[in-house]
Amino acid sequence: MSEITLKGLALPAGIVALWALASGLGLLNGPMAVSPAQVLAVPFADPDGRELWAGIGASLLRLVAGATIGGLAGMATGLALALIRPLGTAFSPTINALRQIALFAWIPLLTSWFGNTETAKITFIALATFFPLVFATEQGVREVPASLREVARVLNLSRRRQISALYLPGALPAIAVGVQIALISSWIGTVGAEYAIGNGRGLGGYIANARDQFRMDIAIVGVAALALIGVFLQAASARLIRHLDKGN
Amino acid sequence: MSHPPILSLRSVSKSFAVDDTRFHALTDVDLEIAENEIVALIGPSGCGKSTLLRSVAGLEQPDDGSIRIAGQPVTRAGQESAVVFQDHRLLPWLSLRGNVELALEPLGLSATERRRRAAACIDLVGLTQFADSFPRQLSGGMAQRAAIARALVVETRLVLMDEPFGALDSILRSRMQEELLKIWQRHRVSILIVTHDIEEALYLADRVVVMRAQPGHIHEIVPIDLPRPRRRDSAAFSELRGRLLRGLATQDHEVAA
Repeated sequence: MSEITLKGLALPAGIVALWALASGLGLLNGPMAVSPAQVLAVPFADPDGRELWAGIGASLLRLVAGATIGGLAGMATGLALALIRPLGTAFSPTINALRQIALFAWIPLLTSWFGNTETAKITFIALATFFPLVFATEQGVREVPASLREVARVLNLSRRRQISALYLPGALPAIAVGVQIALISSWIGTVGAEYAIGNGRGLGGYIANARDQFRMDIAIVGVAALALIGVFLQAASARLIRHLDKGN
Repeated sequence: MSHPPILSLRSVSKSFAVDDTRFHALTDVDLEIAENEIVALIGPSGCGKSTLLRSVAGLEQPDDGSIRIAGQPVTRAGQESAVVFQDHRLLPWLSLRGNVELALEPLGLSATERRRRAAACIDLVGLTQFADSFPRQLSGGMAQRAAIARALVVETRLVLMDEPFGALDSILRSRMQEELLKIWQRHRVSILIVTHDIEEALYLADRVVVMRAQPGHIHEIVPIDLPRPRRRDSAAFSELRGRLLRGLATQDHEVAA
């Protein structure tokens, strides 16, 4: 672990220590007061708390499904907007306007279209991934240097090969940054959709159930898992970007 | 000349709008290049030499006149010609071999045939041991040789070069000129090369086309009848250099491009 990571851990560790001290001295009481030791035991010992693992699994699966659909659709749309001029002029303003809609404002719409279903959740996650990737791909493709576009022309490359050999690899660094933004937004979207739409397994549902049953310990575990997975996703995508940057 | 020319330009004109004024890059240019001939275009910046080459490559559309390669009017980029630019313009995410093989893809060859031809061309420019290197790992001269391999591998009868050695230092440049001639002697292609270097034009070309600016036009075409390999320190070489210098000097220099 790097020095920065260790220093970054100092504050949360201090807070947990204070919390442990306070509950150890009996300063915290009431139904919401739980100790760190209780919370740590929840994912392993508590029958309701053990649901965490299945919940994480369900959420990650949902994330993969929604993000794949939204990501591929986003890249295809961005590519089309950048390469087909009339399409860009016709659709870019509308897509940019739709982007301005706050993510969670889609939920009432989606649930009235699809009901409180899995489809609504996946669509919501797909939307959360779609917009960052449209923008990143469009930008990345537009930034492919004119000099290399000329090469593709004089080499007589087919449209298809121009896309696969020139535009997509050229836009890859921008797309990777888009993926990083999209991952965070779609992870928040996943848990948010589960929390708001309710039914079914998942980390969001886990937290929502804990709230309904006044189980502070389970809620804390859920929120911590949500944050840790978010941090992990961000670190993984940052690593991917560094790897790509080194490649060029 | 008994054979039909590989390239013929007939009264080619091209102008651009630059801040409300017309800039005449080419006016009424006539030029023919024979099979296996090397023709060099020299002239000050703004004389239209690059515009001429880019028009032949199909990257610019002339306003007037006709450009034919092997009798066919040029209607699209990369038609019957291969281009070497001043910068190597290799795709950074492909290996040297990948870049050369990419040029072969539109030809519809089998993968093994592509690999074989690419390997042969990479060998021709002396880069076999770097075939799997990426452009960023190559020096400027090696990358430019790779770009030449990419142009030669498609075996077009006409190769267009836009100041291909302009970015290289002078020692490397003369070595590359020798190598280009060796390759040309084995491959027998026609070469149209734009250069701002009189010695390069004299060393390589069968004919040197001297262009002038405002408007861009052909001032004179000087045949270079010296036997190859040419000696840059010979009296005939110096005399021709003097003649070309005079042809270039009797006009206002450095018209903005």
